[in-house]
Amino acid sequence: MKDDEKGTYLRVLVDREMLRYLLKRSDKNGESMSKYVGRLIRLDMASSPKDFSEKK
Amino acid sequence: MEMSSHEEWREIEEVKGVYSVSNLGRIRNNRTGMVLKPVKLPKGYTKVNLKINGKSINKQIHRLVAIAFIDNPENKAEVNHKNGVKDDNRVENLEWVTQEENLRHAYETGLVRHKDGRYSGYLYHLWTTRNSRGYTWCDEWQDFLVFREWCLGNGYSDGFYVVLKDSTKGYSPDNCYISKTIVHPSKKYDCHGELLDFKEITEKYGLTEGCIKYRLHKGMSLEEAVMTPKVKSKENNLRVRLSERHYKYILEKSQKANMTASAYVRELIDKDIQEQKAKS
Repeated sequence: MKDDEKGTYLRVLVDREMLRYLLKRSDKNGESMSKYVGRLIRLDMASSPKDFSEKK
Repeated sequence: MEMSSHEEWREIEEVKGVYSVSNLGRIRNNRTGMVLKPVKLPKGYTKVNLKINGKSINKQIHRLVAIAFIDNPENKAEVNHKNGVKDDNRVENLEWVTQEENLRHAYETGLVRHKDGRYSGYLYHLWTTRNSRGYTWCDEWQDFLVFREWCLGNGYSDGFYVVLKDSTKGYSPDNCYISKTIVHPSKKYDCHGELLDFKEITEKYGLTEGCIKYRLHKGMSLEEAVMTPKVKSKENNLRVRLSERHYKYILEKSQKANMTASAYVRELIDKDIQEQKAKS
């Protein structure tokens, strides 16, 4: 998602261990949490039925 | 107040040659050899009246003792009575402190009294929770001021603890000592009928050292501290921004899976973590 694009915020409840992992990961790769979750969703979409697959 | 046999006199610099101060907190007129009678101030401190060139000035004794006998390299502004007794002006009971250190000492040692009659600090907390901790308290220490006086007289200061010598007996002057650490690593503790050292206790009950020490500091008995279940770590709110398309996808998928959107995303993250671990 582009920075100027409007989006919807989602609250994800994570435990302390997961949060620590995500923060460490984001520091290491320079990828924000939103981008990371977006990437995971895209991967999930790719493995889902066609009507959800990402438009190119 | 215990008086040591050796009394050392030093001249008071401000009035050199006229008055001297001793390490026991007494003031003497050098010309007459008379020891001045201290006057107790409403707040508990003591002062003396010194006469210089026909003028009289009032000086607090503890400050005179500290100036004459204690080095003050950091130029601290206030003098603290270590045992909290404000007319105990022996040099070993005094120290130079900053205003902040002085206030902290007063709060921690229960010298500050609130308007509703409560005192402050660890000692008062320990004393007020005495009936709920499973230990007996001797009759003498049913009075907080007596308990506080014993602690301060036995070296209690901020960050110290009142520790039981024998954990099968209760709180009394014979069975307690003041320590910097709440537990001793080599000492055996009676924990639910077993004599274990602190490391064995942490291993047996699956708790960290910090957790047990924190619980003891909060006033729990050792048995209570090890039996209280672990508190599940609090969950944190992670706020992620998703495109409309991704958001709709998550909502739909989570409804199909009969779970919340948050749980669905958490599952995706969890799956990724497992994959990364497997790769490494």
